[in-house]
Amino acid sequence: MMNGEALYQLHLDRIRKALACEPVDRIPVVPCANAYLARSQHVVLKEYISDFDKACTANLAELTRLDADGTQNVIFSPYLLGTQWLSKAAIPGVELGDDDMWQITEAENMKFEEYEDIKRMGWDAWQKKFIAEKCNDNWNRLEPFFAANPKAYQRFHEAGIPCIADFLMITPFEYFCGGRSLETFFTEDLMEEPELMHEIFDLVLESNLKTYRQQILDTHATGVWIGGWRTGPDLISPAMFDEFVWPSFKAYYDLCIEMGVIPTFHLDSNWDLCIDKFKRLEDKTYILGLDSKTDMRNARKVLGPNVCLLGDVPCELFAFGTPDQVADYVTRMLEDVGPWGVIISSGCDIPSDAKPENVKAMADAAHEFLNTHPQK
Amino acid sequence: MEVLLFGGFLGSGKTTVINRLLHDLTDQGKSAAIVENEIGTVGIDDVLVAQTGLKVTPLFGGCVCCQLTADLLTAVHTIEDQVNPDVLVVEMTGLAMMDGIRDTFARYGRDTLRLHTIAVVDMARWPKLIRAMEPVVRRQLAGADLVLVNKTDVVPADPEALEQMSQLAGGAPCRTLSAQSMEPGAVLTLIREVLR
Ligand SMILES: Nc1nc2c(ncn2[C@@H]2O[C@H](COP(=O)(O)OP(=O)(O)OP(=O)(O)O)[C@@H](O)[C@H]2O)c(=O)[nH]1
Ligand SMILES: [Mg+2]
Repeated sequence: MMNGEALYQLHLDRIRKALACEPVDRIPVVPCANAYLARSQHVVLKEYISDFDKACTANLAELTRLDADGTQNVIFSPYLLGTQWLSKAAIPGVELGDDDMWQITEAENMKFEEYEDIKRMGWDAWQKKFIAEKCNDNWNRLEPFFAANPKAYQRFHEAGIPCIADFLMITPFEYFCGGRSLETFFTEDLMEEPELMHEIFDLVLESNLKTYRQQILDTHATGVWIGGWRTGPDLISPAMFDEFVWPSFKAYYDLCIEMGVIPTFHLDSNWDLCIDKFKRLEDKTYILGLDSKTDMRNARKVLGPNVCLLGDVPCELFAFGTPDQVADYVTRMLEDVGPWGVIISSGCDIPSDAKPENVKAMADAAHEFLNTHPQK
Repeated sequence: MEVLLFGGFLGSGKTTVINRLLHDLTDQGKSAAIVENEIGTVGIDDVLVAQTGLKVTPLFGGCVCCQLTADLLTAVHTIEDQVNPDVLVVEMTGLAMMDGIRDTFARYGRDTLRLHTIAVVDMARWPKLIRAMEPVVRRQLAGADLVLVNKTDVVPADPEALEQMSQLAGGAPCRTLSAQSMEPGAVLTLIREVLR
């Protein structure tokens, strides 16, 4: 059997080839999951988010069962969610039952006047204070998580499973859309005070670029997610996307390229109307992660053969479908948009109630594909 | 099992409508259960819950809404197995997109489920919403069988707005109301009449 280091390199090479849209010896499978990994290994969510050794063991056990080529996260804490959306998160074993799914609380957590505080204090200092005071002191609560990361990474490395999303790059839009709450942010802030929003966004972006640059160095990052949760055309018009979101996407992407880090655009919900925007980026340099609401076949048509697509087995199929249906979904997707330049994964997270046999069927179908469909 | 799924923006009046409806159902001797995609003090009438033994099931979704639809259908199936009420009422957060939920129910839901989707709109806030967030409003209404235009005591219903809502909802009927001051029985009658 191959040792961990060799396996790690083999897997990472395969992922890099897929990124470059070059031929691979098998289609890589890089899942994205947390609660599912816990459930599949019968770990209660309360423990999963506090006992990180146990969580890491569960994750490795399931990813090894799947023979995964990589992962999109190593361990997870729901306190991360609060820092992404300036919100409180409800936590299993705290506000929720021990095995209930965590959730972001959608509320107007931040007041309009606080934009002035950001200008005065700077983004970094302001968000530290705000998150301490208004988001359940998330940064402090994340300390055990961050402390557990190096060991978890080491264990993944030894198991030969590379992580392609070492941390998340958050656009200014996401923070305030969360903190101010969706509706208030759109109707009061973006609509009434666009100039102020630009000023704030620029300030946040500049600060984050510094932070992320350092974070890439500190974590020796292989890849990152550039998150598009509330910034897609289901929520905003393509023109607003260009005005308020694209500048951050582009700046984060440029930072990744400069630092030799793989950017994965993690795009939730339907991005059909904005897929063409990604033609502005250089081919073969980024991964587009789609969640099955976006038409992946259309994305291939629009972007051409030289962009790596990651996705997109639907949540519902994992939960309610059969292994045959899942396998069929994956095979047809690879026939239509592959085989090169594709990484097979769930669309967004594998849902916590996914059937393990369905998840396995996804991995097997991808891994088998080149045997049943030999390429010339 | 009848499933009445309520969606609509934060504070549009979903819980207020639902409380009225639950009273109406109980008065008629119908059993109900409820799924709340919200935490903490959800505002479902405690007294009613205590009196009727109404089952309230919380529903939590991971990041935003990608896992939620699958979790919702699982919860609905479980309630049908364990409680099997006449009517199951579901309150979703404003972020849940009803057309996606409908698709999932159609594809993977049991034949015994009769799903009706109801969008609650705050009349007073409509002009702002449609101006600032048309794509979201469009998607919220796209999957609705019925649009309840609420808070018409604050701002009277504007025919042009109603026309626009109905159009976005694919021709679904729009009914105006002030949920806060409905006579007993009125909400149920309204919903019955439309969602036969
Ligand atoms: N004036 C007026 N106020 C109403 C009416 N219906 C509800 N409200 C008020 O609007 C506020 C929000 O009502 P809820 O029923 O909690 O709204 P909701 O949609 O459930 O809110 P979330 O669950 O927080 O999204 C409350 O203060 C209600 O009393 C109405 O017809 N007229
Ligand atoms: Mg409510």
